[in-house]
Amino acid sequence: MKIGLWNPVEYAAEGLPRGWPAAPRHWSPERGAESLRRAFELYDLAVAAGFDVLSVAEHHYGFGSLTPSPSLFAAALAQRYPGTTIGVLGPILPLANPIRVAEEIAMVDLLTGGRTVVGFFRGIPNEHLVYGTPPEATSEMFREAFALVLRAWTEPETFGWEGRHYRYRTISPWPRPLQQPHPPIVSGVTSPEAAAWVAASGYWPGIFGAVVPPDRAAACVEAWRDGVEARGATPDDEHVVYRARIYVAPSDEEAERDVAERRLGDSRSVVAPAPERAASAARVLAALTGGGPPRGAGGPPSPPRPEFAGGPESVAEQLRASRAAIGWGFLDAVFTDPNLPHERALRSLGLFVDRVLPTLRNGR
Amino acid sequence: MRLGEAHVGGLRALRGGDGPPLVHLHGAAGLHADPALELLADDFDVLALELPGFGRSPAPRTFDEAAVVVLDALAEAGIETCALAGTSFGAVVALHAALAAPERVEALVLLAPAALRPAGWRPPAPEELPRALFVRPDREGLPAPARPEDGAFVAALLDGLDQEALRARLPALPTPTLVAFGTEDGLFPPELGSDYRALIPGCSFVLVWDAAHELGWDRPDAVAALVGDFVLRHEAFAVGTTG
Repeated sequence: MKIGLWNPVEYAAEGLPRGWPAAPRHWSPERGAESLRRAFELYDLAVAAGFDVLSVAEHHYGFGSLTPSPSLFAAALAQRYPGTTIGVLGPILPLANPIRVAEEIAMVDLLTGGRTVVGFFRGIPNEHLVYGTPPEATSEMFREAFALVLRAWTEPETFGWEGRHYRYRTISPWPRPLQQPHPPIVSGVTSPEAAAWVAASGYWPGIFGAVVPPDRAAACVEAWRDGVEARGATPDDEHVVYRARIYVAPSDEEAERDVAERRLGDSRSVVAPAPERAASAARVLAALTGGGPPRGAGGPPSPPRPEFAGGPESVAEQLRASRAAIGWGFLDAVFTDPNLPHERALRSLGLFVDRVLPTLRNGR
Repeated sequence: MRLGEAHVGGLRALRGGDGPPLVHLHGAAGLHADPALELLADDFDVLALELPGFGRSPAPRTFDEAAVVVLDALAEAGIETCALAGTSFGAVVALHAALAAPERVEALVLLAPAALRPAGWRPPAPEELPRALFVRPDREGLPAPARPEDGAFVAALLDGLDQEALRARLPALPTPTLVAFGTEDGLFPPELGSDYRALIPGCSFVLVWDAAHELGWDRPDAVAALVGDFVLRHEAFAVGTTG
């Protein structure tokens, strides 16, 4: 089993009004520095405990994350934690220049000594506001950009690209990845059909526990395993990435109290507008989603909560049961929460390290 | 602009448009006006020639022979120099014409050329052919596949093409050359473009996204823009413009 720590690097926003996009006036250098200190405190603890992977995502314009450039932060992690695999999970392709993405991930792979996994994303609707990307084009843009990044990593000669969304006449990325032909690619799946395509393509399925319910996740993994076997390979459960939110408290009672009172796991608050701007933001969201409901795979459970929460013994048991039911072997865990004070997140990770991780490792 | 029936030298042709001459040589499916050629006729005098061996003309025994027939027909029509393009089989003839008379070919455009092939290459099974040729093979108006007699003659000529000898000739080709493959080409792997790029000193290689073997049918606007830009600017087409 592989254990990863996903850290969105939240802004130290205590006492500030929430809302996306966050007003730039709320930035303070002191809070910024404190945010980074907190993030590295969590990473330090995870690395000392032997976490296999540190992962970083791309999010913009909010207190929820200070890593709008995931490859830049990945490079910093690579230097600070040599020997640990870095998960760049990952670039939002419709927001990016795909050639730049290919170049930067190759740089990260070089800097990590070939210990990089990468995932590409289409982005959630609000992120398509960031650089004015037409939302209706993002599905096609994602597909084309993904193909272009792969070509950029594998074509042996300088080439050009006449796309529908991207046109380049001279492509010759340098460096190329240390891992040949490219680092393992994690591809987010929300349906068995998508998982079958991921298997046929040789990628690793990435399942977000926040949006894919366990039974659906299990069906995805089964479809992926069938697809891998269909092309004559052996499925490796450490290639099944399950990103999940974990909250460990000293006791089940305290964990449940925190989950309920602090609304832990309610990730909507990360992208919710400030209350006074709610009506205005709703009009923007309607335009972004074409008036329909935001896409997703059934949405979060109601009421929202972390995928795993409780005292150490409960969380260990929940994880064992989840792994058995779904079939993941690479847990990309997040211990922070927009509604959780840093000290509690640190305590939760500490309890996980001391009292959950050893039982998981023994049970491998 | 629509292309109309014409004769160029002794060859049947489809011709239309005003501007510098742009000669195109068709693939195994025979002479037809693909939509990219019609778009190119907005800026060029497009001459799509029927290759020897198709229609009622006698079949050449080699690509060098076919190239001579094309060059002679153009000379007879008063076209001493031109941009020369070809698709698939026609691209092999165009390549041989440029090798034989580089002084007469100002720019060479090879669309999904059939010249270089991977070792052990076999054509796709008949039921897979439509998808190999077109990204959306169920669209209306697509050209019919090669007639059996044309297909046999094309296959014989391609089988007789000495791959090693051809590869040895390419480094001496002085002509600015564009090689384009559709990313979904099911007949020849688009990765072959890299071989042309590596062998021909003046070769630019472009992948056309979301196009199969008949890239002029699958992405007419993109192919017309790409070919037109290369024919007018040669390697400078790689330089961005404000236009």
